[in-house]
Amino acid sequence: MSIVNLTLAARALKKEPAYCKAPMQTTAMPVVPTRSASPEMPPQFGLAYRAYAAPHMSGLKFGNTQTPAPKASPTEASGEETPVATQHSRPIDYADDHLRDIWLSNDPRHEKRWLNANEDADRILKAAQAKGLDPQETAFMISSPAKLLQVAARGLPNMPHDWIHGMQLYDLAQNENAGLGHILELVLNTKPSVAYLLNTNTPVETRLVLAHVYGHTDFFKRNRFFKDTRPDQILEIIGRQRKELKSYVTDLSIPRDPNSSRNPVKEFMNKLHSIEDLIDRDAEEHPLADFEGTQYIQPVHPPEQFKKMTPAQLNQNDRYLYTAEDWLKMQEQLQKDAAPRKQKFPAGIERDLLGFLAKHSPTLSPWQRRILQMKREQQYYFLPQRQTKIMNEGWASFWHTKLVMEDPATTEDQISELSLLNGSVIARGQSGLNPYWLGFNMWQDLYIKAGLGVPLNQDTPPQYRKYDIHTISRVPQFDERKALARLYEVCAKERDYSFVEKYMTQSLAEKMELFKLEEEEGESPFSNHRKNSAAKAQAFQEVQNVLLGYLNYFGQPVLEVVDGDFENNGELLINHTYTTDSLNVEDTKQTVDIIASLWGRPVHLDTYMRKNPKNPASDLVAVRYTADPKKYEVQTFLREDRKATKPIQIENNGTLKI
Amino acid sequence: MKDIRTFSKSVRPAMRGFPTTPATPAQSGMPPGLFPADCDVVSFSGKTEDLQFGAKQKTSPLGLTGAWSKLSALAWDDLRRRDPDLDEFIDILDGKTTEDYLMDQILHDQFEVGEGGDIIIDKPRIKIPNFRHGNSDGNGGGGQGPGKGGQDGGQGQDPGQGQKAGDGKGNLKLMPWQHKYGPSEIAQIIGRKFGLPFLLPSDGESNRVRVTKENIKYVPPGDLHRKKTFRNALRRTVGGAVANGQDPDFNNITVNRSDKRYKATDFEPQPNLKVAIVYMADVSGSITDQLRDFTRTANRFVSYPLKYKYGQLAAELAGEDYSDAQYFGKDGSGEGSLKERFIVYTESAEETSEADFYKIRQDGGTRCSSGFNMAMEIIEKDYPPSEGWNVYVYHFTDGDNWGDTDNKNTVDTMKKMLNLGVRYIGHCDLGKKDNYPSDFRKAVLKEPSFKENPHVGSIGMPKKPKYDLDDYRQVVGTFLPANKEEPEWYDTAV
Repeated sequence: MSIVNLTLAARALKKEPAYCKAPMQTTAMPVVPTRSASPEMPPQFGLAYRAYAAPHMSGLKFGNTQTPAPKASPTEASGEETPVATQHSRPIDYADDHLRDIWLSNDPRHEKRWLNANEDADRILKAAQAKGLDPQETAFMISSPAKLLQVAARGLPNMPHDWIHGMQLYDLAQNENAGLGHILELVLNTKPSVAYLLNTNTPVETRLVLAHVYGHTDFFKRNRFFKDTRPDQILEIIGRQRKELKSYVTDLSIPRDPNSSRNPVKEFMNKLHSIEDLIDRDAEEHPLADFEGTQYIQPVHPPEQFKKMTPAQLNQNDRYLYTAEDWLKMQEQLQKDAAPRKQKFPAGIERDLLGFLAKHSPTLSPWQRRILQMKREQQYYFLPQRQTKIMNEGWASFWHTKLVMEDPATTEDQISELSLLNGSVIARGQSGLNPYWLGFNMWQDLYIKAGLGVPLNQDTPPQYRKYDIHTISRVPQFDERKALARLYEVCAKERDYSFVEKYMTQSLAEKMELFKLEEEEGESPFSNHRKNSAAKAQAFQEVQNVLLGYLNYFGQPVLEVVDGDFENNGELLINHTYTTDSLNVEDTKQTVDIIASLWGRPVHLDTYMRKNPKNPASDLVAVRYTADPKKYEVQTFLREDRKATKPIQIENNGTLKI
Repeated sequence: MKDIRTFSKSVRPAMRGFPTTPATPAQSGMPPGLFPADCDVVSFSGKTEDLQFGAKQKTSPLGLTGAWSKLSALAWDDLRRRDPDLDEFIDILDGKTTEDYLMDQILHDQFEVGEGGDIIIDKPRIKIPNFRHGNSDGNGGGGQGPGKGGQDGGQGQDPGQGQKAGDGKGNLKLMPWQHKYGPSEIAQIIGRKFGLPFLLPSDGESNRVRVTKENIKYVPPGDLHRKKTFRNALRRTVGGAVANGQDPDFNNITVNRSDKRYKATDFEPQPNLKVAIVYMADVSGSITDQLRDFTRTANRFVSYPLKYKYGQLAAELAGEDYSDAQYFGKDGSGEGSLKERFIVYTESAEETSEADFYKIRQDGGTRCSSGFNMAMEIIEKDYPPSEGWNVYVYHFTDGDNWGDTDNKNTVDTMKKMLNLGVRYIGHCDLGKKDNYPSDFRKAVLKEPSFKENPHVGSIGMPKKPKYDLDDYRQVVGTFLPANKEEPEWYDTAV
């Protein structure tokens, strides 16, 4: 029997792909020159980011986009003029700093390069539109590498201040320094879209990146998961958040911890770093509901001794402590506790933990709820980009490959540079899974099948497997118009999980070498064809499972709030659905503790662990983590059904000490 | 579509709030001369020609064409200055770079040695707890591990390119993820962590200084000190008269025995400040890489405090302020500095450089006497204790010596060394199971003249999966023995 070498699977088990990890990745790859502007640019152009309404884009025409300029923002319409501060008279503000990029693009030294880029942009956009692509209006900005990294670290240029962005910038810049990654372009899902072009890119790189950007902006407009992201307002929303958060940080009326010199708001934000991505990552719709008027759950908490004792058990001294009224209340409470609860809370299960805490936590102050809500809005804005990473990058790569190679201006001596660049962008990648590579190959495969009239979820016919995106046009039966029409349908309705589930086929996996069969000694591949084909089918199944495992909830633990009033005591019960692996012990303890401090009452997390962590086949043990904000340590219990039975000790390497 | 030239002209006047000319370096607070006039579009290599259209492009490590340039330390500073979040983050990292973290990095060999004995480590990573799968150390996810492990990231390997930039004084500029400790800082931290004692240098017979002693009373070993004697007599006679209300008689002053003072010249020994360490290691096949690493780290822990301590004493005697530059010179040739020699042996001995000392591996058996004989030769020739050298001999072996004869010979050599005046001979048994002493160590322990001898020490370091700070504490504590007169020297230092 042949040995199945799951190259991808093996890597997958070791690491999550990098793109699943970064919480706020915008699509990043190549791109852009600033376009010429209409002469009637609004006078408050310089206030673009400060007003957060993107008015600087509203008055500009970028490229040859036919779309009319968006409506003027209310500020602009009212004709108010905000006084402009001098650039250097105060500490440099990050958001303001970006304005200079636009201005710098007027530097005559860039003239020739960006003139070429302007022509490229016009030509490529026309070619794209002729193929049926419908890119959103796109604003290009020329930027230095450092500024590109600054935006990439945040996801949006005017995110509220937080040192965590500094950490991401630090990592990005360090990677860039070590030659581990190079960002050529950055596109924001705004309206109009903003794309950053590097001033260090060559003209040829710029051309490729332009085409790539148009792929992204078309995808933003076309895919159904982006419809709730409010691209026209997001810069304003985030800008307001930034202001609001600043007002909290400087608010002296917020009580401080007398034992600490730190800012209470920043301390609170530090806690949120651990839980800020706990939203419903499967959500198809993005509920950005307004929270005003929500009733917070305020469970009645009888003193412990009230619950435990009957009146007869109370001793002489206690009788003097409580009045008759207290006795009555006590009796009522005892009866309430004894009676079964009528309604479960929450009614179903709630995966949006961030929203649940913001809505229902009994202890949080209003400003804390607001910060939670802001984080949640940010997360839901970025969610579709995470959900469609492979499709989105693949789509853009597919289009830049197609458009640039078919571009009449691409000369023969540029082709080698282009291929080299394109090859490195859609390369397989050294470690992890490169979404550009996977996405590009899948779109290419679909393109070929659709053009030939083969059902999309079936293997490519063997005689066509050697063709690629360019050479397929030589096949007489191939119909490009039909192919693209079909691709647009797929592009509009799928996201990564369904995309891979439906359209990853065995023939494609084989072509991409996602798995490989190794020959045994003395065995000829021809001698045992049937056995091998069974092995291949099995290997493909495993590969697809691994891929879907990544994409399902981004390969991260699925957590749900099961009960918000557990034990009738206002405690929180969270359930972890065991899929492939148990939770990291050390991190789980710390994170549960953080949630308990936000909930203000004990928080329980139910999960499973292997009896022997080194043996993946050993029995599962039901375990509960319990964090009480009044206690110093997080406790762990064995459990049975919904009851914790026995305290146990769990070591950081996952060993249980029963 | 308009020509971009038109765009520039028509738009500029309308852009209020912005300077009409590009920001000059002075305006953006940057040191003049380091950047071309327009600092915002400069590429990070700092060369103006990179910006020119059609300029020759470099090739990146990934095979990408285009201007590929690393962020220099200066560019990092610029980035940090303009990004408050990055600034705050780096401050947080600095706060996490503690002494404990430093010791941890030294134990795991995660550092570079800079010029003059500086130790450069990478600042710690910040781990943010979250719900995640798996009980690995956390390197499983993400795939980004910059900063740690110079081998992988390439930061440690090629410091030549863009890593370090001159700040104009010839000092190297550190990258933001690096932290530097000076040698005296390291020495003090080691001293504090290990509770190291005060080490007394030898009183050198060879290093006597002429001292004149005056005011000697009653004992006449030298000449009478006439001036002091007469002064005493005057004070007694005249002073007594005045005290009694009489007129002093200056013509009749008598000297009696109690007035007499004498003076004498003597030669007093001064502490010797010349130090030499001779390291010996068995490099036979039985020494594993782990033991070799242990040897290296232990040697570092010993040499830093020794250097610092002697340097500080020398400065004190000379009445100067202590400075790292003087006593940890680039070439180790500072006056009070320390000489190091390295000997490896199997059946025969060989002198090596420091780098080779921890690398060389040879086949063959173990004959300790060969190493000790060579050490003896070196000491007699280059560092004779009779000329004021404080010599320390440190020896590491797994103890599988050839036969009793050789053990006896070696012990004899050690005795000779002690007779010469070697300050200390330390022996460490490596990798013995259950800390059972090797034959050689048994011989050392049995030797009657070594018992309770403060100049000899031996210790066994059993085989362990991982050595921690406590193990090093034992070895360093044995090799730098306590002096009861002035304990806890490090608490009062500098």
